[in-house]
Amino acid sequence: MDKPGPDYVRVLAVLKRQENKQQWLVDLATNLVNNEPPRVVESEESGLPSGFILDTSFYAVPLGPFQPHTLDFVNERISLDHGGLRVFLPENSEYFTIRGFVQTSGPASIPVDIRGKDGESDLKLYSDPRTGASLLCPNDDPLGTIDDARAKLRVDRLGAYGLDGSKVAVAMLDSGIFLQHLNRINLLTGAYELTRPEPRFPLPKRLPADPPMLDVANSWTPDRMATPPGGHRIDHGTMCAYNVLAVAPKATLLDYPHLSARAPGDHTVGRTVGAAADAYSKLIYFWIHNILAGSAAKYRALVVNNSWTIFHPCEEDFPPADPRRYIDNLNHPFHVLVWILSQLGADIVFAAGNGGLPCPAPPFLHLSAGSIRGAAAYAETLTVAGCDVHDFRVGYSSQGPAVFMAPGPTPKKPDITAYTHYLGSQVFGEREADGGTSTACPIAAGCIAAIRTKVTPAMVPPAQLFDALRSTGRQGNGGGPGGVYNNDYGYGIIDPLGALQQLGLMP
Amino acid sequence: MGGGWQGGGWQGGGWQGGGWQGGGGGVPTFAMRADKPFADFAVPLNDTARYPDFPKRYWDPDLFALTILPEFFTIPKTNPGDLYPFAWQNIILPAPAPIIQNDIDRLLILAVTERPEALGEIIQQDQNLQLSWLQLLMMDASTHPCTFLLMKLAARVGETMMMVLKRQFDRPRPSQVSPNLFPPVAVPGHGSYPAGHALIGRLTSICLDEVVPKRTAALMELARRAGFNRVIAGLHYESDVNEGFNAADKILPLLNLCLTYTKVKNELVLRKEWVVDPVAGTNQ
Repeated sequence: MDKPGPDYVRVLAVLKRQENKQQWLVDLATNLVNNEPPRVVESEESGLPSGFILDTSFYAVPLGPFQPHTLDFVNERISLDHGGLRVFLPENSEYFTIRGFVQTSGPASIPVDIRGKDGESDLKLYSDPRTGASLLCPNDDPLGTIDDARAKLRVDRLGAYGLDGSKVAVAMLDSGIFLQHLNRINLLTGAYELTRPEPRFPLPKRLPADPPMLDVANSWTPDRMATPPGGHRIDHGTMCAYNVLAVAPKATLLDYPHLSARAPGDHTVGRTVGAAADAYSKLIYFWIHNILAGSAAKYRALVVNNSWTIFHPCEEDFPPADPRRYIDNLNHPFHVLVWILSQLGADIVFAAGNGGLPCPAPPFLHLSAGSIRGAAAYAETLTVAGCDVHDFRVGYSSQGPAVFMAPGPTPKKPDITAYTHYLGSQVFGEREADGGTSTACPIAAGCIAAIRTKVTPAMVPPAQLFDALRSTGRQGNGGGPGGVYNNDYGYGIIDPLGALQQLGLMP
Repeated sequence: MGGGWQGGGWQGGGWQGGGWQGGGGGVPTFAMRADKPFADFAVPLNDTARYPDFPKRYWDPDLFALTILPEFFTIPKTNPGDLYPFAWQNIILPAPAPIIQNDIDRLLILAVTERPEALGEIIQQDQNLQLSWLQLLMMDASTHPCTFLLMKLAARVGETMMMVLKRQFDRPRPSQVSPNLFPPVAVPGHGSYPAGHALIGRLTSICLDEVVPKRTAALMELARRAGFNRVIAGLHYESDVNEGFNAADKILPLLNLCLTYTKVKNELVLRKEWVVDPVAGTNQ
């Protein structure tokens, strides 16, 4: 749809489904998870308040029985049985997030909520700010190689214990994957790539008996995006995917190119938290069905890699302390989705951001204080800072403390540090580094995927695994002792074998 | 914006690389040797009955399009309740909001993150906006002369209205407020609000959408893209672009009240410029 007019602002809204009414909410949520175009919803049918113009290109995202401002994120628990999971399926969900436009003279005058007709379909409004990849890092030459990082992480020992990511799905919420760069199989001919130069650090080849590198059926393509899963433009997402597989060589990737999504009707760059919400909704649906499949489940575990961030508060629609904000508000609906997926046993990993001192990436506009923002500052996520292969923090890695998250408490962030700024995927050129906390994040995700090969979320839930990773963090060069929080490294440099030992799962 | 008028190319400037008919820059000469001037030869006069007027096909579309301006600017108000006697006077934009740090910060981020990749489009659309539309529709002045003329009419009205509106506000350009936005093309010689590329791009798209079948999505996307490229370039605030689009939507109904515009539109239909003929092939 076109934006209704210049005096409209894009917002996310949470509404409660009236008993067995508003079938359009269920239909849109179903369209989203089935990769179908959104169905048409006329305003007479939606019954939405006249001040809110629905944008069906966002579809509808079920929140189950939860709404952001009343959910007790700390104490509430999701039951992982059939009944407990069904409440998140579109047809059973009580609350939904939708997107639309409200007319206003400016962001500050957007209401907190809009009353529906006859007291029904009240909408609570939230911001849908723009997002971006956190790659843009200083142009220093790469330091060391992916092999150095693998050696530091003792990936060979992980492999020797069979911890290779088999039957672990790693969802890449990024700009999209160009599979040919990773598996060297020509997309058009299906033959092994012989003509292009051999990469310096190729990923291990997969044998026919190995799990596939990419699960196309369970990937997602945003509305209006032309390229298919695994066929996206070679970019940031391919770099991140490479780094997951460099540590967990038999993990299966899910391609979720939300950073390439474009919100229509608005001449912005288009990638917003709304696109990430769509992606999470699809992931929740996918993972519920994986759990319900029981022993026939395709995957043992789900790791969600998020190498994206919010550059600057100016990307926000709403002023500080506003209840609808994203970057520092625990009650934004995106938090509900992250919380649900985490409760379902997914390990959600976020890049801390590239806003650290002394050399923040340019889009942060030198706002280095509180540059760990939004979902990277949720308690449910593992937030990853970056260090080079000599264990020195890279100069742009975002530092703690995170932005103050209302209503609190703000968790200590970053959680952990992982390697970056080395020569690896060569996605950006033969001599260009895999850089940014964007690279550290999939390295950590790869470590978790390796661990999850044998340690299911039923055995060790994400929170417990993250605790183990934090408490076994190694001391960085010039940082405080490992396992103890400091603003630069969090709890130290990730040590997957150390965490396994601490969990008593490895001698 | 609508092509240079006099001196850019042979026939009043053009949208296609300096000349419409394959010419480069420079002034053409039609040489004639002095010892045997063409005038020395006895050539019978043309039959004035056969050539009674200046050929329409030879009219310079750029200059022809100027003639719509008196029509457009004398359309009486269309709504009795309107404040002013002429319809164009009632295209009223709200005063732009004061520029705040947030506006500038957004532009700075776009300059860092988007400008390098958008630069090609920014430069091309700065020099020759409508060329993108010709490319999109696979047309030029020879393949679709009426459609081409329609675009020129829209461009002339659009650029005049744009200047009229801009003069009301004189909003400073973003790079005046924040010099480090440093646009990659020359800062235009007029105010920021509303955005001209957005206004004319949108106007071109909605005009074409009335005559070209089934290209709506691509036309609208191109207009949006051209408008937003000016924001990435640091030449405009987002609100300039929004109001440029808004103004275009208000101009089109008035354009449709101009006799010259409707005549060209009717001629376009008569000539079947966008009709698909399954036997003779496609003309779209």
